[in-house]
Amino acid sequence: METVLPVYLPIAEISVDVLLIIGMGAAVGFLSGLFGVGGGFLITPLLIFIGVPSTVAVATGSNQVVASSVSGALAQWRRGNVDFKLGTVMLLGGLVGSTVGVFVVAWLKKKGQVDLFISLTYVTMLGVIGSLMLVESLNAIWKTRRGDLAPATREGHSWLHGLPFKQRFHRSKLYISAIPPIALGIFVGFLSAIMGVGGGFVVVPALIYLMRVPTNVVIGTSLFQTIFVAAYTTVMQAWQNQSVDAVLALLLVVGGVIGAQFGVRAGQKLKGEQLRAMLAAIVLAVAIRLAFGLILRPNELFSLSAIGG
Amino acid sequence: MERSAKAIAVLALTLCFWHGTAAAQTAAAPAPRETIEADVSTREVPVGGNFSGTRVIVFGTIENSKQTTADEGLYDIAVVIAGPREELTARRKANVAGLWINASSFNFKNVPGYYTVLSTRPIKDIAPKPVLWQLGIGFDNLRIVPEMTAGAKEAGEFRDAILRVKTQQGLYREVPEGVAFIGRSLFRGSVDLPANAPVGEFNAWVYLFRKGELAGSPYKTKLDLKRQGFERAVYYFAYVHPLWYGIVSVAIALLAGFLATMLFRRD
Repeated sequence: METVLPVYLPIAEISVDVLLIIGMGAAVGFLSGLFGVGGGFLITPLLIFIGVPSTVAVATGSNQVVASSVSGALAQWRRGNVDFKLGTVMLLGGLVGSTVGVFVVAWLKKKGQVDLFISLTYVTMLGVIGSLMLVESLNAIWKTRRGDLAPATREGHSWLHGLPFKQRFHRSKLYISAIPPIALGIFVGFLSAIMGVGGGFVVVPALIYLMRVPTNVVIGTSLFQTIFVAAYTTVMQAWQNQSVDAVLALLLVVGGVIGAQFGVRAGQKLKGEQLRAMLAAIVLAVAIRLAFGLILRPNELFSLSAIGG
Repeated sequence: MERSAKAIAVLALTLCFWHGTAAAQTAAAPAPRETIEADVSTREVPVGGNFSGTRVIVFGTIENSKQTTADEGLYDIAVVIAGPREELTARRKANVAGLWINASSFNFKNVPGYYTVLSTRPIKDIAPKPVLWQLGIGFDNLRIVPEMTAGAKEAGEFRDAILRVKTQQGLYREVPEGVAFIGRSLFRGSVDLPANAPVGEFNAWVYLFRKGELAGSPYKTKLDLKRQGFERAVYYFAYVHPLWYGIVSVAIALLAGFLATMLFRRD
């Protein structure tokens, strides 16, 4: 492909086309604006596809998530849609999970298995979440066609409500154990380091379906903890693994903010369940593409990397 | 760059001519031995943000050339350009439970990060194998030895893989007609350093062959691929002050997010 505006990425150590990167950022930004997601789960695989080392792709993904979450987090905060207490509890778990994740990346890199682990995590997480979302949204579409009203699922006690260390979360009108939000935080923090994502695709359904957090608080609280966990992960990846490419991140952000504006406008014309079905399809497509990379016999069985890295 | 190379070439030609006449005057003395003088067009290649590879000209002259024309074919030239030595791990994937995963690996030391041979014709026609092996000219004669000596047969496959992968990456090349005589003693070749060429010190050796034997001593020169400007600053910041680099990266991302919010705010 003809390179129009080459730029040498200082940390990824490859030469890429500025327009390609901005275009990728814009495309993902459009989808994030459309679906109200961070888009980290799309950025990281795309970066790996164009030849960015996977460790740099996940770390730079986290850096990009910081920028793309600011706008949404501010908007939600202004509307009072953030449960700071719940967010902070999750954040504490997130810092732990992220720290573990960053060291796991460093260790797997030495072992030569980091690419495999990142791909496997992607295929598993996106496969599961994508399938669940697809089923849920298709059900919703089917029900609206039949004229049923979606049942409110606020009542009902799950096993989660029997756990100790109960805390009152005023904004969410919840009295639940601190263990589930901390555990969720740890898990998402870990994913943030391994996948370079904000983790909204896990946090949002977990808060809604497992912890029964009111929907209006979910996005704001998720974004609140995302921005801090992504910031922390970025710093840790830069510090421990020297894998954050700030130039690459900035180019992605420039494209992302432009794309997001168009995405938000396009999203207003579509129904919630339709959007969720489309997002599910995209999530599954990424999972399948990555799965093929693991299952199909590669053209070149050998790969080279620096010793110890 | 091209222009300066031409200027040097013209100068070199003039010198050759002068030498030629000088040689004619002392025709009675025994024929002096050939020696080579050579250089590269660029000694220092800056690797900055817009680095997308560069072309380097290698040129030189044969002192006391016995050739009467450029295409007489009395001499052969081989130019070896080798990049900084790397320590690398070569890994081979195997199918484990349906997934292709890295299964076996060998560590190699002293693998040139870049390796190109330019020659006047295929190197195997230039000199016999032992001569080339001794000088380390050509893929077959490049010393790539694993750290562990165990599993010599397998190690050979890994060695071949390194040559193959590096060739695919455009970092290893053999160019059989990469050098040409443009006068009875002046020769010239060009080598493309791709954008992914490793940063560091490169060595260039120029060998002169006559009838399958090395004539005169090889000429050695260096060129340096140096990080420069903004990319250099970012790279060093990231590696020398990684914690601060991370904090600044986050600050930039936050700032970019704020700016975007201000810019597109609609309420």
